[in-house]
Amino acid sequence: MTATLTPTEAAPSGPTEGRRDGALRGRLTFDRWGLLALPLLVFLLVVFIAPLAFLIASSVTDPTLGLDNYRKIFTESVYLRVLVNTFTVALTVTAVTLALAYPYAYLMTIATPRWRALLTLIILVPFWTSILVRSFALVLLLRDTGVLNSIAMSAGAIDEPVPLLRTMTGVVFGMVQIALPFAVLPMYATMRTIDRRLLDAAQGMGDRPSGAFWRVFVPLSMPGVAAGLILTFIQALGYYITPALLGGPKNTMIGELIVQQVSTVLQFGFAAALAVILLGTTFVLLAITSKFMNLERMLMGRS
Amino acid sequence: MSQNTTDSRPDDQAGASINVEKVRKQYGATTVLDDVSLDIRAGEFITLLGASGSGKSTLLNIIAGFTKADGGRVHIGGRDLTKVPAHRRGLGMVFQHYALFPHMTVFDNVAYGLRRHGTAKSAISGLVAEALEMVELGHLAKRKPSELSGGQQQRVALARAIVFRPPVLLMDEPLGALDKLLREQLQLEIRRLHQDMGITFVFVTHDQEEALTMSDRIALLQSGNIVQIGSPSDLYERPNCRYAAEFIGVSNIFSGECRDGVFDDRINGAQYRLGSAASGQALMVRPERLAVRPGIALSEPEDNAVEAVVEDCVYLGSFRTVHARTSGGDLVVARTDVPRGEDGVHPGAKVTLTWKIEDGRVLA
Ligand SMILES: Nc1ncnc2c1ncn2[C@@H]1O[C@H](COP(=O)(O)OP(=O)(O)OP(=O)(O)O)[C@@H](O)[C@H]1O
Ligand SMILES: [Mg+2]
Repeated sequence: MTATLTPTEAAPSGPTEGRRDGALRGRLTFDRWGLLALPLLVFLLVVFIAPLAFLIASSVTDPTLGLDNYRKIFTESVYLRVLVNTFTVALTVTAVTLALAYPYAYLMTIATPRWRALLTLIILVPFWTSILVRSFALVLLLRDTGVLNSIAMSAGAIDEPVPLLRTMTGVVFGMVQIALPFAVLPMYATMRTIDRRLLDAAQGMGDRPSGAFWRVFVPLSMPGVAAGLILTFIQALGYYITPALLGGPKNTMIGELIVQQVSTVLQFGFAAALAVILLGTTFVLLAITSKFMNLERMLMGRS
Repeated sequence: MSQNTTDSRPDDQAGASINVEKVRKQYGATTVLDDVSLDIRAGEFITLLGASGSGKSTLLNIIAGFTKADGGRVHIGGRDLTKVPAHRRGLGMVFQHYALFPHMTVFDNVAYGLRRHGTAKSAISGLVAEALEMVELGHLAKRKPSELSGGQQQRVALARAIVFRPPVLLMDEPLGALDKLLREQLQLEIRRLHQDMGITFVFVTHDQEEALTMSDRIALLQSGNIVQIGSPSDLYERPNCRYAAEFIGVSNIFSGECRDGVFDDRINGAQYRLGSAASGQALMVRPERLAVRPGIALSEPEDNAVEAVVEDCVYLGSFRTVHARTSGGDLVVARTDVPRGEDGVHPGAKVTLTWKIEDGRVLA
């Protein structure tokens, strides 16, 4: 072919080029308002990404190059027990939280606006209170001479104070209390989008109200439940203050171990390896979840 | 075969009668249903027609058992079901916005009722297929509701409601969300379903044309009262009040008074003869009963007449509507045949509108 461009040849290439051009422009340039996000990006880079890289690096270099730190975690029974304990506590906390949060979120969806506002307030107030304050309050509540034991003893339900502090019960108690809003809110966000007439429809076809609830409402609320579970579990893995204040030496969790390694024993490399395991677990969990569910949809409460 | 003998499925009489007796419903201070009584015959296609907020859905939901009445009784098939909850009434229901279960396939949606009624597993797939075939959706059984068009979703809702052969099918504005063409198609299909199944249909709509084309009888509701109940032609030809006349079809209403067999229209300075003795403040004539004559024509002895000036002529193919204003300012609509040539009826022309004495109807 010669280089002469006949109109018929030029015509089809015209719009295609235009489109490709448009797509390119869409990819390369962005609204200038987008520049406003730059400070945050820089901030994250400096205070999060860079230390993270340093952390990962030191877990395999400090004190010697290699995977010694990781080997130590998985071979020495003291550390292995901390890992097992961490997961046990996190799972228990998640289960208890689910059992409490689901009915609460359901109550929020069926309440009148005024009651709903009150229920929302109750769930949010702890949010606005420092975790430290809340955990100390729990100490007062749970210790042998604390509120719970005194009431139970004066009511004659028990003769001896039941030890709650420095036990796993105490830790779970405190952590559930912190996790509740994170579970209730996504569940509520999903539940309130469920059309109540679906339940009528189920009953119209002969299903009992309880059957309609299990077969229609519960399955449709699952995205919110999954979001609540994952948020609770990931949080529970990393708690530090609550187990430190409410738990005993036997229930050490990974967060406490890290602090201990950094501030008391000064084994930075080992602490870094522990932190990397915690972080890795979190990412794996998120990856699994997002493979089965749309994370964005879950967290935005759309169904 | 007949494992499900618990189902109330008498084959001789597929439909059930419904008797609503002095049903009352109040929300706070507003009375939504004001002692409504309604007798629906077995196998009938009845439409609850009314403006938005007139209480149609409330009445339907009370029949279905989703809403509790403050007073009155509901009998279905001769049984008093006033206190029986919805899931034990065994009625079919189609909701305005379909209310399909989004997490189930079309098949599972339709099978839901059968499973709850304890139908044998082996029978379910056959019955579901049959119901889907009835609404021409057999090929879409594996889809989720979100993968269907509005019309298809509505058909699934229909199939789901009829699959367990309920004696009564309740429908709350089932076609409200569809476009005109689809509506008309589904109207025909619902009519056909009614004829095939022979069960009682209670259909809610605010669209008077839909009510006229589909129903055996229409109950017209106005703010919680049934103002008239009757066949479509009863309501169209013989409305019993001004509200019914204005709600159904197009009507020309002259205000005035009845005196000695004559209706005195003082606004237009005319007197109309009445076929029979009547009393009321309004005289109604349907557009198709009006004849339009150019100029001031003397009316024939059996006709009534009023003079007017044409404002607009609309040609609609098989007929024409003429909008004319009387001297008193009433806008009158006439629907006439299309003339072969120019007949002197055009905007600005003076015309005489005439109608046969028996075509005028006095309303309270
Ligand atoms: N749950 C409720 N609480 C308070 N008022 C209600 C409730 N349900 C219905 N109403 C009122 O009752 C009246 C009748 O409602 P209904 O839904 O029966 O009307 P409708 O005839 O079906 O109207 P539409 O054609 O708009 O569906 C309305 O004025 C409505 O505001
Ligand atoms: Mg309604």
